This record gives sequence, C-alpha cells and structure tokens, in this order.
Amino acid sequence: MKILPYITIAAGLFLFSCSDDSTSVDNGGTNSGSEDWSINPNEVVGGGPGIDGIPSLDDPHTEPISESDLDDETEVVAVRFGEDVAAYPVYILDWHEMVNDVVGGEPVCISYCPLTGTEVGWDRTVNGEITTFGVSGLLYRNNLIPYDRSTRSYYSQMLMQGIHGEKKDESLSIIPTVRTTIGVLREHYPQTRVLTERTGYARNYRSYPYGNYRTDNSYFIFPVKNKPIKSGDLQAKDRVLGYLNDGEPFYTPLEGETVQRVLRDDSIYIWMNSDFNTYSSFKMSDEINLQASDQPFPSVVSDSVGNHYDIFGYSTEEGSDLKIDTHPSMISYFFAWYDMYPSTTEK
Amino acid sequence: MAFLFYKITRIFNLPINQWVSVGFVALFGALILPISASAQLCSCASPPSVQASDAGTELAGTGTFSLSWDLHHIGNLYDGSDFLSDDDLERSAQNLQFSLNYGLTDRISTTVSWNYVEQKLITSQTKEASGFGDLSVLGKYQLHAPNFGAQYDLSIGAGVGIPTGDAYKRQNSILLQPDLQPGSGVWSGILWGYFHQTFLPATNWNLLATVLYQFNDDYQRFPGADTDYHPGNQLFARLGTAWKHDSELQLFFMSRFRHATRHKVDGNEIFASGGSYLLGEAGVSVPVLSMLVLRVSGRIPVWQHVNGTQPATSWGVTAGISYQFQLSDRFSF
Repeated sequence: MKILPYITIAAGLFLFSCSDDSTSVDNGGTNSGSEDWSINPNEVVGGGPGIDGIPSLDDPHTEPISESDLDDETEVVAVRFGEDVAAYPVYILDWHEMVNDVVGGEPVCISYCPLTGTEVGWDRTVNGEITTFGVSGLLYRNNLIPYDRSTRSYYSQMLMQGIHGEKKDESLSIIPTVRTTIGVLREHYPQTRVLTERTGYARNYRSYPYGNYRTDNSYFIFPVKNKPIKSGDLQAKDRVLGYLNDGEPFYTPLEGETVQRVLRDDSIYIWMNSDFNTYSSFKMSDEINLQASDQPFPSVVSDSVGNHYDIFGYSTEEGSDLKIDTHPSMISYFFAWYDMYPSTTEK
Repeated sequence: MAFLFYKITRIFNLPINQWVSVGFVALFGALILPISASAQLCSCASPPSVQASDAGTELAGTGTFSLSWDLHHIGNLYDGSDFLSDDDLERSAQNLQFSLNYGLTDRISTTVSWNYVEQKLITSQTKEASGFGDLSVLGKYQLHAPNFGAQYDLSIGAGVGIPTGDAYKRQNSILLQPDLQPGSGVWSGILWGYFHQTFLPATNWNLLATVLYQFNDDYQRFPGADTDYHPGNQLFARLGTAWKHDSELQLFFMSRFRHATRHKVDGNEIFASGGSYLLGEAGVSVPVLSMLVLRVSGRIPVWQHVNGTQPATSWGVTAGISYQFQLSDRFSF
C-alpha cells in the first residue's frame, strides 16, 4: 500500500517532464512560418506519406517502344527534345508522381498529380545547377507540392511556381508535355523510349491506388475550397484541358463526343483529338499564324507558309529543323482546375 | 461527465452518494493517474487502443494501477496480403500508457485509460509529434465469477472514448496528417468482453480471450472546411494461453487480431485505409513485490490483409508495471 503514492508521484513527475506537447521536424533547413508561404498555408495539408514517402524516380529505366508490351490505349505523358521522345505511362506516375530524367540532353522533371489528374514538366536546373525534384507529401487544394533537393523550396504544380522557400514566387521553367497514348507513339514515333516498371520499388503497378477516385464525382479525399458551379454537363471528375493566356485561366472540356476540336485564340492554338486521345497546344504570334493541317496525322497544324507541325511542335517535313513553341497546358479534373483557378472560363 | 453519472444512477436506480464516489474515482483516474487511449499511428496499423481491456474486473475496493511503455514499429509495405518492401519508410509510436482498473462492487469495475504518445515518421526526413492522447472510460460487469465448479471469469462492458488528445497539431504552419496526431479527434463508443478460464488443479495453463469494438463518430479534420472525417471503426480480439509457475511467474502466448474499417471523408471511403492484422505475442510477467508485477512482451505480425497498398506492423514491444492495491471500504459499494 505504501508504494502507491511513490508510483503516483513518479508518474506525475514524468508527465510534467514530457508535458511540453511538441511537434518537430527535421526540415533540412527549410524555414518555417506562415509568412514564408506565398499561398495560404491553412490550405496546405499533409497527404500522409511524408516527404519522399512517395518516391520520385531519379534514375528511370526506359526501353524502346518496340520492346514494350504496353497496350496501345495506355495513356502517357510524352516529351520530345530533337529526336529523343520519352513516354511516361500515367499508371506508373500514379505511384511515383515525379520522374527526374534527361531527354535529348535536357534535364527534365515530369510531374503528375493523381488527385488532380494534372501533368507538368519543367527544367531541373535550379540556380544554375542541375538538381532533382521530390514529392513533399504536402498538397495545396488537392494538388501535388514538389520540392527541389537543391534549395529545398516547395512549388505548386498547377500554379507552376515556387510557393515556399528560396524559390518562392519564382516561376518554373516549363517544358512542354503532351498527353497521348502508346499507340500514337508506337505508330508515329518509333524512336520513343518508355518508362518501365523496373523502378527499383516494389509496387503493384497494375492496380490503381485510389480506388474509384477517378470516376466517383462525389469522392474527394481533401477539401475542395472552390466548388464549381455547374457548367453544362461537366462533372467534377470530367477532364478538361486547362491553360493560362496572359495569366487568365481557361479550360476546354475533353469529354463528350468531340473527335477533333481546334481552338484558335489570339495567341494560343489548342489541338485535341479524342480518337487519338491526344491533346496539345501551341503559341501563336504575329509571325506564327497557325491553322489546322490538311496533312495526315502526325501533322496537326500548319503555319501561313505551309510548314506542318506535329503534336510536339516539330516540323513533319523530312530533314526540316523548324519548330514552333508549344504553350503550357495540362489535362486536369474539372473540379481541380476550377478550385485552383476559380475565375476560369470555358473555351 | 456529471450528467453521464447522473444518467447512470437513474438507470441503475442507485443512491446518488455512491455515484458521487464513482465519479470521484473516475476523475481521480483521469486527472491524476492518466492511462491509455487511442493514439493513431497510421490508418492501418495503430497500436491497441485500450490495453486496459486486457484486464478483467476487480473485487470491491481493490484496483490495479498500470504503467506501461509500448513501442510500435511499422516498416513493411503490403499490397493486400502481399509483402512488397521493408525499406520505403519507417513509422514508430511510443506510448506511455496509464490505466486504473478499480472494483466498485464485486461485480462492477471501471477502467480509466490515458496515454502520452510520441509519433514518428521517417522518410528522407523525420517528422515527429507528441502529446497526450485520448481518454477512455470503461465500465465492466462480471457475469460469472470463477468458482471450483466452473473456473471461468466472464465479463462484459461498455465505455466511451473522449477526444482529449490534440488532433490539430501543425508543423511549419501545416496541419499534420491524422496518423501523426496524438488524438483521434472523435468521440467513440466501446463494447468489451472478457473470458478467463483456469483448469486447476489439473494444470497451471489457463485460457484468456478479450474482445473490444470501438466505433467512432465524425469530426471536422480540416479547420475552416466543412468536411466530415470518420476514422475507421476497430475490432480488437485477443486469444491465448498463459502458464503460471508456483512462484507466480507467468509466461503467456497470445494472438492479437485487429480489424479496422476504412476511414471516410464525407461518407466516401478512403481506398487505402483499414485492413485486418494478426500478430503473435509472447511475454512474461514477474511478481517483484507482493503487489507489484513487471511485464514484458514482444509481438510480430503473423498475417495481414491491408486495403490497397499500405505500410503494416513489423514489430512491437511492451514493458509495464502494475500495482495492485486495496482502498478502504469507504471507496467500495
């Protein structure tokens, strides 16, 4: 009986000694505090796995598309520099979200956010040095927040700029990407190399990690701040092609019966073909006035002097090194594009 | 709490002064002798939420105070029942758990549990958070007391989990994920059952089984957003045997089963959450003084089936001390 008070006192002392409820992190030197964010940090949430808990692919293994056994319908994010075409299957990106690669000698990072369905590519050069990008484990309005391993700055994928740390408010150097299929690349770009499942990580790649998230229009894992006002027949998980024109956000629905649709704005030319499941956009200027190509695919647009260009903006003429600039755009779930850019309008 | 006690007195038609004493004991346990509750480690593999459920009822005026330390390590990645990897990430939780089990009558006991938890997530960097967890209060009723003719103890109980732990801890201004929060954020109901059978004098081996079901309410996980978050309900079951030496030293071998339903957001199930887990546990308890018992055990996974791809338990250890005491008759009924 006499020992009980001592146990009680000892327990009490221990509790007081550790009652300084604490939260700490080894943040690798990243400053903390709400003032260091260019966005409202209250809208940033931890996704769960922690920083690099979703592992980026930093030494991606690829194989020639002729050796790939992927179905033609397999959806990919594709990048082209010169004759080097790289394709990153979306079903692998679902598990890794970031691929640090070199395409045509250019250090590129291909990012993909499964919760918003968006892909963005950018140059991996930061402060003059080539670095890699990883998954911070944080989300802003459901969207991926990557970080660079050089300055440990955080970025918003869909805003395409730094939001925390040294690179805050600085824009990423965007590299054009095209959403297309293995079938398109296999037929028209036989030099393509394809990211394989030999990633160095054990994952069940053929299963989608988020259940019915892609198709259930009422299923959101994190809060949606700006819920879209009903726009035509568009549902939350319908896909749109989103892009900025002089900072003004626009979207074009991809779903429906559209076979081929061309949007010709003052400075942007949008090309989409649901038969090919391929979407691209191009910059126009006073010198570059684009129109629909009358040549068969892969020519998709032509300029005023009759040069024809493919989905990457490269001339389709044999031996020609002409190229037009593509315009940054991204496929997105409608709710995500609207949530990130609530002032957006449909084109 | 007072209202709850008042309602109980009405239900059982008991004199109010006795239940003032019940309340006093419960509050004493809650405030001075804190114990265990549910500190989530991960949606898939949290430690047992109410370890005090392992104990049966006490005789009137007697009780057991337990202090235990538990280290729970998660490092195995599974897809369904398929092992994928053991080096992608590492999680751990340390719980300092306090429990007071006290006999109000020879058949009715109450258990109050609380804990102090430290959660850690190690990837390329380390995140950790600590604090007091939730409080649980469990009432137990002994249906059958062991006797020479029927050497089994059968008890049932019900209780409540009270969200006293912080579920809104932030780091660098960013709200941490639920599996790093010390508290669950929700009220929960608890149903409990206990069975203990001895076979004396034929053998010193005995049989133990407990079951606990915890069903959770919703809470607003994201401040400022109208989003109902529902941590998955959980079923804990424990079945095993113990061998008692004449010196009172006990060896025990247990199987621990846990099933967790998926978490929900606004009624929608989160695909990669919840699952079923079976662990094997072995340990020893040693009496060091007449009323003081030391207990050490270790556990490893035997089988698990997670929903989707999730990390799962790789091992756990527990060390504890319990002290049996008897208060004066004034504290029993």
